[in-house]
Amino acid sequence: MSKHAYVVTVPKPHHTAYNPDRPISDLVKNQILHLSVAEQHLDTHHQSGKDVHSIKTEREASEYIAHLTRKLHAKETKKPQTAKKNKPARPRPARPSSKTNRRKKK
Amino acid sequence: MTVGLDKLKHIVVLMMENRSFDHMLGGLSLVTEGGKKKYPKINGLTGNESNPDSDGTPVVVQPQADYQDQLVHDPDHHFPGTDMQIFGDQKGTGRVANMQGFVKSYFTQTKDVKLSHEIMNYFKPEKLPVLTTLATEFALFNSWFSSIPGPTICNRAFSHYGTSFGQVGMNIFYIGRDIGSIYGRMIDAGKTAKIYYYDQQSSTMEIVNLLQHQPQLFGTYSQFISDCKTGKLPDYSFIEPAYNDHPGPGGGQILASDQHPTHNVQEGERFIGNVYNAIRGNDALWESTALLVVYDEHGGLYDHVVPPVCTPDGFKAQAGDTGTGMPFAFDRLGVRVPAILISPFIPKGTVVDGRIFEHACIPNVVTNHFLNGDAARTVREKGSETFLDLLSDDMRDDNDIPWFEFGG
Repeated sequence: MSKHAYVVTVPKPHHTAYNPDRPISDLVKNQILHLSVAEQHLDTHHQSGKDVHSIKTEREASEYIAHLTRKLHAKETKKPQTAKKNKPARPRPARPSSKTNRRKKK
Repeated sequence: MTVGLDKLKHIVVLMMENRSFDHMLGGLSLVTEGGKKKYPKINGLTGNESNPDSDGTPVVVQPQADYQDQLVHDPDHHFPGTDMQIFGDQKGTGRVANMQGFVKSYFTQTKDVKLSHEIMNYFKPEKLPVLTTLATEFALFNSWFSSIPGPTICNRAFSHYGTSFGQVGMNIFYIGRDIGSIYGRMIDAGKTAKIYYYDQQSSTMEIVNLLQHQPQLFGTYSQFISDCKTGKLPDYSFIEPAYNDHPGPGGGQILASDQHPTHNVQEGERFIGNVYNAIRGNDALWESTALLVVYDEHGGLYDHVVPPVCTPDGFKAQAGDTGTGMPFAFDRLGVRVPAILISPFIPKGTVVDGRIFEHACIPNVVTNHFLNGDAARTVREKGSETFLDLLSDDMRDDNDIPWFEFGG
């Protein structure tokens, strides 16, 4: 029994709601494009080699997103303390989507 | 200073995805009790609002919104599409915003007249028990607008930076500017701030700017829950929902909780309820925290309120970048979105009316409260509304405060 006096019950989604094979939205598409730009700052042997334009479903996107998130966090965590004294690497700006779109059309 | 403001130690923002005010909460205005409107102060729907379809037939709003996969096409919410939704068929200068282009805009995607009508659907309040409970129990903003009539990334930028640095789309060119993120401002001043993303499979939308260079600012949602339990929540927290369906630990299933069409809206309800419960479940945290639940933009879904003009942020998007053939001076807000401020010091049923809010208010409030306003920021952010005045002297009785239980 709840210890709270004013309880609101929230139903859960239907069991068929889960759909990792759903095609990715424009939002997730842009998220992985941005991650692919960030990936270029990793050492070559940490890069996934993945063509992000081949990612079609949310399951595929989540795998790529998790891989890059882990790698990018690890990269920052392993930075030596003295690194702050050096001039930080200037991040390359994200490429405009028009360029990535051009790639896609190839 | 009120007691509520004096006790305030934490501000938490939960930003959801792509739903308009009328789509989610407009139905509250149609609820009656004893033959009268139950929530007369809420600026929702009358039930008579309409948009012409591509045949010119008026399409009236309907309480037919469903949880998932109803909108087979992700409704257009990029700058040109939103421009059409706000201005209808009007082109060129001297246009008057009329909110008459939603159905026609959706028809450009569906190519099906009947399907295009679904953009006018709204939720019956009883279908969204979490959002409607919070909206009617705490402070609902009648006039919180997205910052730009455009998509996610530029709108979210306003919540992080108080500007999108001239962007009206999904590009991320705002690196190395002289206006820091609210997180950078807080850390530089010795305060604490964190972005909690759901998990590594979902991650964050603030990738290049934050993830790559400031990983110490990031945590997962499970860390948020733990930080709430142990009383270690930072001064400022920004929470991101899960953005995709993906396998979970131990063979589990993680559903997207962002409510982005066509993700399951009920899962988003559960996520909002869980965030609220996590704070509400720790007495010390509950009385010292203000939680703002807000949506980044309208997602192409109908709202009846014309977005107002606003103070420009000093940037200008060129005609070639807007996609409308006209430049944009960031002098008009985007479509209205749901926004609710939650605290035990907010009187039940507060409706904030007659004041204009947008996402630049978020860094403005955080900077003013924690940093005494000391940070480089745009004129727009500095001039934006604040909302901590909504915290009163009186803390509500615990029995008067809702708690969510998650059923099967």
